[in-house]
Formats: sequence, structure tokens, C-alpha cells
Amino acid sequence: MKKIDFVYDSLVKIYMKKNEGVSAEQISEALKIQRSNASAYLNMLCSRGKATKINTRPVIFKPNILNINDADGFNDKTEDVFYTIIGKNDSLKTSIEQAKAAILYPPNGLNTIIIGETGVGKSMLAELMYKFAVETNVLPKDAPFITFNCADYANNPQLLIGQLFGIEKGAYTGADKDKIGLFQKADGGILFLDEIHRLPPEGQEMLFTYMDKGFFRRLGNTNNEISVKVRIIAATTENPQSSLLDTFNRRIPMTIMLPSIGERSLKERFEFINYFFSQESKRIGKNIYVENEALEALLLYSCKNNIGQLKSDIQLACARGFFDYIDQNKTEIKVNIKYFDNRVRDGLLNIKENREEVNELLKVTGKYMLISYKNKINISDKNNLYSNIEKRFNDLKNQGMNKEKLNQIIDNDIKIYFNKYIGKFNDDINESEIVDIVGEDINKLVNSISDYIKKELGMQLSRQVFVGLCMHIKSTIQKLKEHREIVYPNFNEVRLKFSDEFKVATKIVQMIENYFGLQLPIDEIGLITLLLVSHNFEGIATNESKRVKVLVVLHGNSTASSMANVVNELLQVNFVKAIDMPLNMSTKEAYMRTKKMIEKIDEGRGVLLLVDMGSLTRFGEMVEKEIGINVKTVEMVSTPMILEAAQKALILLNLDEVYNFTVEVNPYIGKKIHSNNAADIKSNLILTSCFTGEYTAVKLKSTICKNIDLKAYNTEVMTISINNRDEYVQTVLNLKKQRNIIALIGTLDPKIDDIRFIRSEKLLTPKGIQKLGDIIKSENMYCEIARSLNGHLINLDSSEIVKDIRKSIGNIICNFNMEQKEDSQIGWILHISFMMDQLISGDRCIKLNNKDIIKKRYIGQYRVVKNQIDLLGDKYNVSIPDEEICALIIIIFEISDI
Amino acid sequence: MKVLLVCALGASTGVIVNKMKRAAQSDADIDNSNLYIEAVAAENFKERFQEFDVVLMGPQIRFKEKEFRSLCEPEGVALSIIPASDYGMMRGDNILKLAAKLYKENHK
Repeated sequence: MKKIDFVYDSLVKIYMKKNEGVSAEQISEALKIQRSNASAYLNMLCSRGKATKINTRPVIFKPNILNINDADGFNDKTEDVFYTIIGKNDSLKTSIEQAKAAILYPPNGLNTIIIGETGVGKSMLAELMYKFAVETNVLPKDAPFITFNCADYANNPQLLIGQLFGIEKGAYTGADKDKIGLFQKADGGILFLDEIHRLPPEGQEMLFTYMDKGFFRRLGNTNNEISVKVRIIAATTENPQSSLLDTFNRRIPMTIMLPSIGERSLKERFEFINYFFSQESKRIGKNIYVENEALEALLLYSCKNNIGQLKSDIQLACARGFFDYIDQNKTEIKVNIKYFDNRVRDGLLNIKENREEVNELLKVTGKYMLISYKNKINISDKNNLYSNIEKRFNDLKNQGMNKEKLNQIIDNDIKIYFNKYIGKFNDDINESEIVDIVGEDINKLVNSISDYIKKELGMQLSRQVFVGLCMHIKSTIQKLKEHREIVYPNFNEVRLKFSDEFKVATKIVQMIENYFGLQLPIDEIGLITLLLVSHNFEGIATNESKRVKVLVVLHGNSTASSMANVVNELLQVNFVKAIDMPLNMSTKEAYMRTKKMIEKIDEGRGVLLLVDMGSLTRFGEMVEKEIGINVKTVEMVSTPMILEAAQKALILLNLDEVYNFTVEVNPYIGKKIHSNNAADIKSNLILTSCFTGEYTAVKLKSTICKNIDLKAYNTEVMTISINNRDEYVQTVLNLKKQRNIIALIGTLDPKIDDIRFIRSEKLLTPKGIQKLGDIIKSENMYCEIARSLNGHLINLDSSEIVKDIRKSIGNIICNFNMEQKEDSQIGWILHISFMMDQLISGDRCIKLNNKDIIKKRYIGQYRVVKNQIDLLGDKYNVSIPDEEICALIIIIFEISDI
Repeated sequence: MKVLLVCALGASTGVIVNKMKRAAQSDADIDNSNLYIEAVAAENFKERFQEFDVVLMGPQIRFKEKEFRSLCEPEGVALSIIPASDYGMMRGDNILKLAAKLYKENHK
């Protein structure tokens, strides 16, 4: 610290203590320096604007921040910019104190990071901090306040850095003159960096350099250091524990957390509601009457995007209320519960638990609460939604439009308006949702593909295609990993027809290959071409732009519609339709609805029907016969399958192609039954593998032979060497046909279905060896079980059914995170094998009195077990009665009280 | 010796009963003329167990052991769980031996 800073520090301290001006004498005593020196420094501080000289005798000085201190939190009577903030004395008390401290901290304030969810008010707080700094004379009135959202340029680090730090002439082609960056523009003021977690590493580095040293260099310049004085306020939605924030936390001394709306009290929420309604009422210039029920819902609904969302939900309802007011010539503007979306109305479901608190707040007297427009709220944004609505209404009415149509148009207008202004919330969610689903990796790759397309072709990838590419690449990679084929037969046709897009697709495939270090089949180019084409052809009514339609029909009150919604939202399409089939709906009713819907949505290219189980699986065939629309059915549907179906339908594939891709998502489904009635039970095999030229495999083999009594368990060890991956996989697959491969030990996991892979290192310890021994022992036992069943099962291949049952049981156990109890499982296997066999023969009929109780009480278990057992039933073409499912539930979940 | 096998719904035990009977014919220690083996579902256990000397349970209904044992003991009926490997491989011979051992212990 320089001497002058010490002087300033002590000036502040003494002033705070005595609350009166400080003389040079006092400073010289406190710091043990010459009085004349003290005086010189004090005058210097004055000339820098940090202190004020008061020409009394003796001359006294006041530090400039301190004018404020009279007026800030230390003294409640006076008002400052934070005065109007809701929650200033409760949930935001600490945050506001921190914000003030960050501004006031001598000499230059503290760099600050604000953390909180979307919509909690991070930008608002930053702005208030600026206003506070001006109000307290920490910053001059004309000090700049610059806002920059790091997400805006997150895909282009070069540009982002240029924006922030400026560009030197000649930094790159096209940079023909110097450009000042935001850091320079913010000199002497505050730079607010929103979504700081999106700042790329290069930018972080430069930011840190600035924070540490106070200067930076422009892009394209290595010599010229530019010094500025900028206070930085950063904001992020990132979880404070995230490693990304670590780097920031270390450099940024002040962290302010803003609570989400759920963390704030209902009282504060009510103040917000009141405030937002008052704002709207002022905008309209009329009183608003808000229905009590609406207030209750607003207080209690789950408000994912916090205060920002609360505000827009209220605005939307006010706009609808306003419309009804002019439309129906009402005398008052009423905002009723019906103007809110279901999402908001659902809040009423929580009323029971909160009754008292809500009543306390609302102090219910009538049915409506009056919001007066004669309030003191300042409205800064001049949006003229209401006059727009009115104008549009009159225009349309003068055109003689009928009422229903008019209503529709205006409501649509309102929706569009809100999408435009507040739609950004949805986009934000989608972005992170995509990352959730496809992973950071793929998201990044597609971002760079998107940049490439923009740069090379001047084409902006639409959101649809962006998401489509993400999903598509994910499923392609998955397939390659599992060695499943990717085939697109119409490759040539596509190439000729869309040669431009084809060229782009070729490049994209190359990028994917480089990114993952993989070789993609050439068919992939065809598929990606279609993906690009689907975008360009949007809306052109040729035969080909008609799509296969996707219909989801599932048991449950809202299962189908919510799954369909997820997919429609993700892909930003609307052609995935859903029919919910509550358990009490009759099959006939469900069939009628399905048929009607198929009739309605089919555009001549057929409908892919996605169902879960039971009678629904036959609907497609029945509809096809009855009304002649092509329908294909996929059962046991999951969200990834619907996604795949929608995505492939989107790129205009035909029904068979869409179907094939969809079925492929889950390899277990639709597997053909290989009847293998030859009674030979395969002998057990352990494989050890290593790359050619190594002896690991041989060593492994001898370790295993020495330590485990292989003969007793009817097991052999075989060594294979790896020349290349394909050959390796093929060898394993061939062996699998003849032998029962218990485990494959080595360093390279071929990822073959049903083959247990163990890393070589695991066998270096006695414990690892013993574990392998246990595995061999139990595998052999299952083998023996199959052998002993052989001959007792009339219709089934015993080793096949034992394997299938084990898989189902494994899934059930995994689903409920249950403990592995081998001996119980052996019991279940036997039970299920005989059950299946007898069901197929048709000579099984059991009674279970408490079936309904079990179904009701163990609905979750019922669903999973039924799912799994039905899979078995499907494979062996037999339907499994409910009694059997319930009996299984009893033994699997050990129910003894029914 | 009267042996009662209990499983979940009588799916699997039928075969085991047959295997035990066959094993009995070649087992010199077993008095075939007095041997009676029957399988019932767990549901019907309570009505029937008193008629038997030995009760053997399938491993999948192990969770009912405590309840059944508390019923059997006062009536002097022996009870055991069939070891999983014997059950799984349907080793009628071993299961029969187990029943005979329990019977003997109970009639000392």
C-alpha cells in the first residue's frame, strides 16, 4: 500500500469514530508522520476527489465516502436506492449489506460476484450497486455503467475478447481500425459481466490479469498496456460449489448470494405480486381487481424462473384481463384465475398446507383485491402492450371480424408478444436441458459445427436443427459404440437431389470424426443431409414435406402427454401427439380415441404408434385394418425412443425407416427369438485378452488357474490376442455362440452386450481373484440350474429362459436398488421358468385373492415388474395374467402382511 | 414321513416333489411305504401344515420363515429352508435327505 492510501485509511477510521472532520494534526499523530506531509497527502486526496477540505480553523478534512455513511444502513431513517427493495430487512438483508460494503470498501471498492438462479434479480442488484455508488459519491454522476452478457459471444471467444478488451488495427483481416473495448468504455465506472461462467478460458485469463495488475492488452497487441480503473461486478447462475467458480472465487473477494423465490417468505412474495400488479395498473391507468384465488395461486405455484417469471406471468394475465375488459365493454379490469396458465393454477393444490399463512397475508374480505393505479411506482420501461391490444382490437373489429376469430388472434398476439420479451427464459432452460441429455461434449461439437456453417455458408442453424444434430450425433455415437449398424438406403438419391446440403453434411461428418476420433459410415452423410434439408424445406407444401406422424399412447393420467411434451419442446416441433389412458378408461374407449387421432393426424405418410404395453400393442394393427392408414407400432416406449422417432420423422424419413430407427434405440426390444432346442448346455469360458506382443493374457490365465478350482465349476480359461479392434470383437462374438462366456478380462472393453468385462488390474489382488471365483461359482450354478431344468420345461429352451429371466430380475433389482440375494433369486428364476412354461402350454390357472390390494398398494412395483415380465411374455409370445405379476411382487418384495 | 414343500404359487415345487419321490426309491434309508410328499402354495400353508412331520420352504419365500416357524414349533413340526443350490438344481435326492434328517432329529 502506498503512503497516501494509509493516510486515506486513517482519515476514514478517525472520521468514523468521531463523526466529525479530521485535521492534519490528527493524521500526523495517528500515522506518526510530519504534519506538513499529512497535510500534503490530505490535499492530494482532495484533488483526487477522495476527500473534501473544509476551510475552518484549523482546516479539517472529510473523506468523501462518508457523506454516504450518514445515509446508508447504519441509519435506518434515511432512504437510499435500496430502500424500495422488497425483502431489504429480511431475505436480502445480508445481500444488501454486502453490496453496500463492496461499493464503499476503501479505496476502490471490491470486485463482486453475484450468484443466484435465473430471475432472482442479479442484474437489478448490479444496477442498484451502481446507483448506490453514484448516490454516495463514490463514483461521479457521469461514471459509466456497462453491462455485458458473456453468453452472447460464448461461441466465439475471439469476438468476445475483442468486445471486452478492444481490437488493435490489423489484429486480423478486416480489423482496419482500432476498436475500443468495454473495459475502456467502463473506465472510472462499473463493468457488469453477466453469466460470467460462459466466459471462455482466454477471456478469464485476461480478466484475471486485469484484476491483479490493473491493465490489459488489446487483441492483436502485445506491447501496449492499457491501464483503466474499472470496478467489476460479475453474475452467474452457476452453483457456487462448481469447479468453474473456484477460479473466480479465488480472485473475487466479495460473493453475494441471492435467494430463489422459494427461499423467500410468502410475505415477500406477496409484496412482489402486489408490486407487479400495481405496475400494470399504472401502465393501463386503471384500477385492477385481482381475484383472491388468483392471488393464492400466485403465492403458491412453483415459480421456476423466480421473480422474473412471476412478473411475466402476472403481465400475461393482466393482458388477457385487459383484453376481456375492452372486448366485453366491462366497467372494471378483472384478473381472474382463469387468465393464468395451468402451471400457475396448480399452485392452488398447495393451499391446504398454507391456508393460515395465506389468509393472514390476503386478509380476505371480498372476492377481489383492488389494485389502485394511483400508486407511486415509477415505470421506467415504456412498453405499450396495452395500447397495442386496444388498437389491434379496434382495427380487427372495424374489419368486421367475428368474435371468436378475433379472440383467437388477439390471444395469439399476446402470446407472441410474451414469447418475444420473455421467451428467453425458455431458451435458457433448453440449453441446459440439451447439455443434460447429450452431454457437454456433443453440445460443444455442434456449437462449432454451427459456427462453421455460419461462416462458410452464411447459414444460421435453426434451433430445431441444432437440437436435431445434438440428438442425432448422440445416437450415432451410441450405436457405433455398441457396434450396431447405421444404414440409410436412399443415400444416392439424397446425394443427387440435395447436392449443396450434401457437401455441408460431408464436412460435418468429417468434423464429428475428428472430434471423436471415430470412423463414421458413409450413410451418416445421407442422414445429416436430410437433417439440414428438413430445415430449408420447412413450410413448403410438397408431398415430401409431409411427415410421418408420431402418436404416443400410454397408460396413466398424463404419462403420454408429458413425454410427448418433452419431445415437442426439445425439438421445437408440434407433431408428436399423445393420448393418455387412465387406468379406469376402457380399452374400447382408448381404441376409439386412438383411431380418431390417427385419422386426424395422418398426412398420407403413415403414423408411428408408440405404446407401453398390454392391449395397446394391438391397436395399430386394428386401426390399419379398419381404416387403411399405415400404422407401425413400437412398444415399451421410452422418452429417448420418442425423441428418435420425432427426430427421424422430422427429417422426412418414411414410416419404415422411422420405425427401424426407433426400435434400434432399445436393442432388447424386438429381438428375434432364436429357438435353440438342441439340449446342449454350453460349457463355461473365461477369456483373457491382451495386445499382440504382450504376455499379460498368459500371465492372467496362469493366475486364475492357480487360484480357482476351475474343474469343479466346469470352466475353462482361454487366451486371445488383439490385433485390431474389429477382429477382436468378432472373435469374442464367435466364441459367444458356442460357449457360455462368463467374463472377459483385459484392458480393452469391446462393449458387447451380455459380456461381463473385467479390467486386468482388478485381478492383481487376492480379493479380486476371490471375487472372480465367486462369479464363476454362481455362473456355474445358473448353468447347472438351466441344465437341471432341461427336460422339465416343455416349451422353452432352459438356458435361454434362465438368461432372460436373470436379465429381467436384474433390471427389477436395479430399478429398486435392492440388495442382491442370490438364493432368493434362484427361487424366483425357478418360479418364473415354470410359470412361463405352463402359461405357454395353457395349463396354468392360479387364483390370488388379494390381487387388487397389491396392485393398489404397490403400484410402483407393479409397474416395473409388469414391464419386465411383459417383456419376457412378449419374447415368448404369451400374455402374463395380473395374478402372476402380483404373486411375483409378493415374493420379490417379500410382502407378508397381505 | 410326511413332507410338505412350500413355494410361492406351486409353480416349481411339483417337479421337485416328483424328483424326491424318484430319489426315495433308490435310497435305502427311506421307508417308501410311509412316505408322503406334497407341495402347496404359501397361501395355503396355514390350513395344511399340521398334517405333516416336516415342512420345507423354497428360498424365495425365506421372508416368511419366521412366521411359519412360530406356527410349526408349538405343533412339533420341523421346518427348514431348502438350500438355494439344491432348490435351483432341483436336487430331489439332497432335499429328501434334508427332510429325513429333520424327521430323525425331531423323533429322537
